[in-house]
Amino acid sequence: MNNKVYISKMAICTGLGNGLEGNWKKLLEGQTAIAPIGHFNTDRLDYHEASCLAELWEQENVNHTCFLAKMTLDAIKPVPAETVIVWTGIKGNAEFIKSGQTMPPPYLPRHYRSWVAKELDIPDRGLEINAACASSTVGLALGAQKIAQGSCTNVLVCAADLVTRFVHNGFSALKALTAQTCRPFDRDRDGLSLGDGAVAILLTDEATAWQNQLEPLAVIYGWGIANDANHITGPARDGSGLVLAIENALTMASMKAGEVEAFCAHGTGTVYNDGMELTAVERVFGERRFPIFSIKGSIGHTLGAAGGIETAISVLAMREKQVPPNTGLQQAEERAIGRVSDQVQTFAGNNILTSNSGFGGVNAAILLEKV
Amino acid sequence: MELTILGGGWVTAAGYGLLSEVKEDIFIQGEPIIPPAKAIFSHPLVRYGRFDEYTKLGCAAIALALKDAHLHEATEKRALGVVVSTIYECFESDIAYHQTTIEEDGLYASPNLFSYTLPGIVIGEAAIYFKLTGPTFTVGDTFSGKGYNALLSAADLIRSGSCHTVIAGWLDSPNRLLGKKAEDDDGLRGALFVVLSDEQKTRLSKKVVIKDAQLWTESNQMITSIVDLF
Repeated sequence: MNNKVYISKMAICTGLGNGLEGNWKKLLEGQTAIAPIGHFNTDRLDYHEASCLAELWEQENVNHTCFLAKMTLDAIKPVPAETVIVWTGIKGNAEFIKSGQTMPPPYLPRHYRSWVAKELDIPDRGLEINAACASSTVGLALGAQKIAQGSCTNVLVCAADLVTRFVHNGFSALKALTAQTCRPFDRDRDGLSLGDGAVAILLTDEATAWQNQLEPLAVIYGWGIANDANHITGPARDGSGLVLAIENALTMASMKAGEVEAFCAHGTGTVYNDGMELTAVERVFGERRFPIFSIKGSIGHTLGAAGGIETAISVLAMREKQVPPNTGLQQAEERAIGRVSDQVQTFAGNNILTSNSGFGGVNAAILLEKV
Repeated sequence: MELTILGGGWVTAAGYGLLSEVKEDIFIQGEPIIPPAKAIFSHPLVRYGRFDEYTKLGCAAIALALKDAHLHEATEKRALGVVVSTIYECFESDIAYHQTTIEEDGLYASPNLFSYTLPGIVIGEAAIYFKLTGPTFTVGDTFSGKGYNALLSAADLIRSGSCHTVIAGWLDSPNRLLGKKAEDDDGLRGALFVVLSDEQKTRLSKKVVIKDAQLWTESNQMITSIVDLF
């Protein structure tokens, strides 16, 4: 990479509430927002819980994706006028379909990007990226790539995805949900919990940060994206796609695997995802024990927004030199022992790895470094 | 930086074929003519017949592009990327899936249809069949600049050293269930893909030049759509 890429502003909203610092505090306390779903009927299904933001679903006759995203956009304003917008929400059309196609735009991804531009009062330029549950991770990687290459000076990566009937029924049909609260890396984990989530992260080069009096919060100094070419909804059990993504990120950062200090995993709580991730960890990092965590036991799986939210939390983890507890963990599976914990874990705070994996075989990893 | 187009494939209302054999206007209004499996796959892609139209169109055009580039046979996984530009994504599959969720509060939601409610699943299917392990994602598109965002993203990936070869192009399937269309919809449907590479095995003698974060032909014409390459 050429130009250094800084994370200069961050905002998140999850079932734990609106605001990055508030979410961080609740994550450290091991709180969970996963609770019975109130905004649609789940009586006929086997799964009834998710991480939902109450004030979001109190709203009627609104586009809930916009309502959720607006909370993060309001928190991140202002952004420089030349900002390139990368929208990475993946199911913004779900309410449109439910309403019998009577809802006005936004419903296509490009509508959401235009809507973001209007909200921020900046020119509408950028693109929309969909890489399933790794969408905002890929968005951050590609945004970083554009800045590193000098194609632009700053990029806003944003996303919002909801706990909708559309998505909940689908994961229910796939038997991918848990009937309780998800338990990433637990010996008896049995599925994921969904969550409402939105994120906005502003990436800048050094000059833009300086000119706009932004205090850089972290550096993105390596990333990798890889497909495992295995199955459209199941990860490769050998972890090959994630291994490749992490190794590419390490290569870009000119970093050795032994130097990675902590890992914010995708950690959905499904048998196959978490098993795949532990296999990848062993293949890349060997027997070495270092802090690994998932925040999905607290906020659920926020789909396209997940990677961005986890990146923001990882930046705070570096700042505080500690990673949140793996909420929901009761008894770690054997390969996770000494890596995940139901308690806060400390680390040096110099760097952190974060990754996400999604349907269609995509895997993406980002290496963050303290400023 | 100069990239080589190793090959290309197309599926439109004019039929389907290879970029190296294009002789007439392939970009016409109407229903895309999706090729039968035996015309494009050298070994069976078992699920092809059951794919939704979006996935079928995309896999067919990717298969043709790889065939044109002589990259359609692989015994081992390889680091080729795929970037797809699309406007409507898999909206038709979304609606088809949604219809299975209406009765009995979602009790009979189709897991098979739900799996195809992400626009990148077509890439996943292609990646499995053709053993592709490079970066894969979809990007939004515009009617006036079909495929451009995919081409530019692919060029950026190659320029950054993420991979040497990327299949990039445009994919939009007919709207049969969606009641309304986007305000600027030109009605054209189909799939066009090219194989872009920084490797020096020229087959088509066509080049794409990256200059000032834009794409140009060798003859210094600005590329504004993948249609410019066909």
